[in-house]
Amino acid sequence: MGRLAAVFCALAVLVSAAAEARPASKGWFAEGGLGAVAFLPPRASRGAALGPSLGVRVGRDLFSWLSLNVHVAASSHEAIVPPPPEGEWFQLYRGAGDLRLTGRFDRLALYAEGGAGLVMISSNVLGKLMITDPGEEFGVMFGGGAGFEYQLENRHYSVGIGVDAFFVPQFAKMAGLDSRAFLRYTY
Amino acid sequence: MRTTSIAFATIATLASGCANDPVYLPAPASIDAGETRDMDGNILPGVSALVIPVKLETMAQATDRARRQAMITDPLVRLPFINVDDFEISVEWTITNLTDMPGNATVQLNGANEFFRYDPSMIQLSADDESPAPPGLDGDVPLDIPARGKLNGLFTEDNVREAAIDLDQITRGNINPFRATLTISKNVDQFAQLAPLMFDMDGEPLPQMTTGTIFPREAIPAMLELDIVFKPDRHMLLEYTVRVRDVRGDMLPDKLMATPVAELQPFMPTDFAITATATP
Repeated sequence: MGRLAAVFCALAVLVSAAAEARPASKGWFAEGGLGAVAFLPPRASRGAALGPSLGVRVGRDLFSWLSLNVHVAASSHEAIVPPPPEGEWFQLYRGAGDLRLTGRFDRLALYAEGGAGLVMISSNVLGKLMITDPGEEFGVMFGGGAGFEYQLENRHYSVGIGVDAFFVPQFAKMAGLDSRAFLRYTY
Repeated sequence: MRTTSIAFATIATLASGCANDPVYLPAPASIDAGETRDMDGNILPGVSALVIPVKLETMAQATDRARRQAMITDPLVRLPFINVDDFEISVEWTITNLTDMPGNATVQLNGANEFFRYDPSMIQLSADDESPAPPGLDGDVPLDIPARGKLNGLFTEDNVREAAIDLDQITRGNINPFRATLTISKNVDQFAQLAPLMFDMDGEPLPQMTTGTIFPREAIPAMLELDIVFKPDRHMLLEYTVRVRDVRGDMLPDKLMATPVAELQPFMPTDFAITATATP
C-alpha cells in the first residue's frame, strides 16, 4: 500500500511538472500572418474567388488568458461576375478590434476571439451582382475565430494557425473565412 | 514600438493604394444589332454612348485652373477641367453571336471630350464617293465570332488615351483624322495646330501649314463620352463595361451613374464636322 502511494505521489509530481506553463512572454505583442480568404454562400462565394490575405495584429495581454487586439488585414480576390468585365480583381481591407481568450497547455495555447470593425472594398465590381450598392465602399464587420499557437524555445516567439470568420451585413450579408498561419512576437 | 510603426505604415500603404482603385461603369444598355437594315439593305450598326460622371468643379479647382491658364500666353490654348492623364479609362466588351452561323463584327470607339464630339459620320474628307470612310478613333478590327459563341475584347487604357489625344488633334488641332489615328501620340508632350482643312478642285484635302499654336499635354482633355459603334454581319449582342481609374482621386462622384445630374459637371461638347467642298 505504501509502495502504491509512493508511485502515485511520484506520478502526481511528474504530471504537475508537465502541466506547468512553458515560459512564454506576456504583455504587448505583434502578430503577422499569411493565408487565404474564402467567401461563404450564398452570394459572395458566387461573386469572388478564394484569394490570398495578409494580416497584422497588435495587442496587449491583459492577463495570461485575456488579450485586447487591433488587427488590419487585406485580401485580394478575382471577381467572378458575368463578363464584361472578366479577370478583374478587387481588394478587401479589414480593420477591427477584438478580445482573445487563451488557454495554455504547455507548448500549445488554444484561443478563441471575437470583435467588430470596419471593412472597405476597393472597387464596385461586385455591384453587378448587387453585393455592393452604388457608392457603397465601407461596411461594419463582425467577426470571430479560433486557433492555436505553438511556443518556440525563445519565450518571445510563437507560431500558429488560425481561422477567423467575418460577416458584413451591408454587403449583401457577405461572409467569409480567413485562414492563416502566423508568427507572434511578445515583448 | 517598432511593430506599432510597422502596423501604421501598413495602414498608410493600404490607404494610399486605395486612391487609384478602378470603378466599373455599366453600359446603359446592351447593343443588339444585326437585324435592322436600311433602305438599301445594309445592316445598321448599333450605337451606345456612356458619359463618365464627373463631380462639379470646386472653387479651389477653378482657381487653380485659372492660375495655370494665366501662365499660357496663347488664347487658343484652353485648359480642360479633366486632363487626359487625370483618368485612366478602358472598355471591356463581350460579343455574343445569337445565330447558328459563324459571323463577323467590328467594334469602333469614338467619343467626346469637354470641347468636341467626334463622329466619323459627320466627317467628309473627300468629295469622291469611293474614297475610304473616315476612321473611328480606335477599333474597327474584323472579328470572327463562332456560331452561338462569345468573344471578349478590350480597349486598353493605352488605346483610350491614344484616342483622347487623337480626338483633340482632330478637333482643336485640325489634323486630318487619318493622320491623327495612324500616328502614335499617346506619349506626346505637345502637338502643333494646323490650318483648317482646305480642299482642291477635285475635293481632295490640300497640304496644311502649322498655325504656330502649340497644345501642351496639360491642355489635352480626357475623353468623357465613349461612343461604341457595333457593326455585326448577323444578329449579335454586345455588352460592355467602362473601367475608370481616377488618378487625381477627387473627380468621380461616390454614387457614379446614380449621382443626381445637378451634382455633376455639365457636359455639352460641340459636334465636330468636316465637309469636303471643291475649291475653284
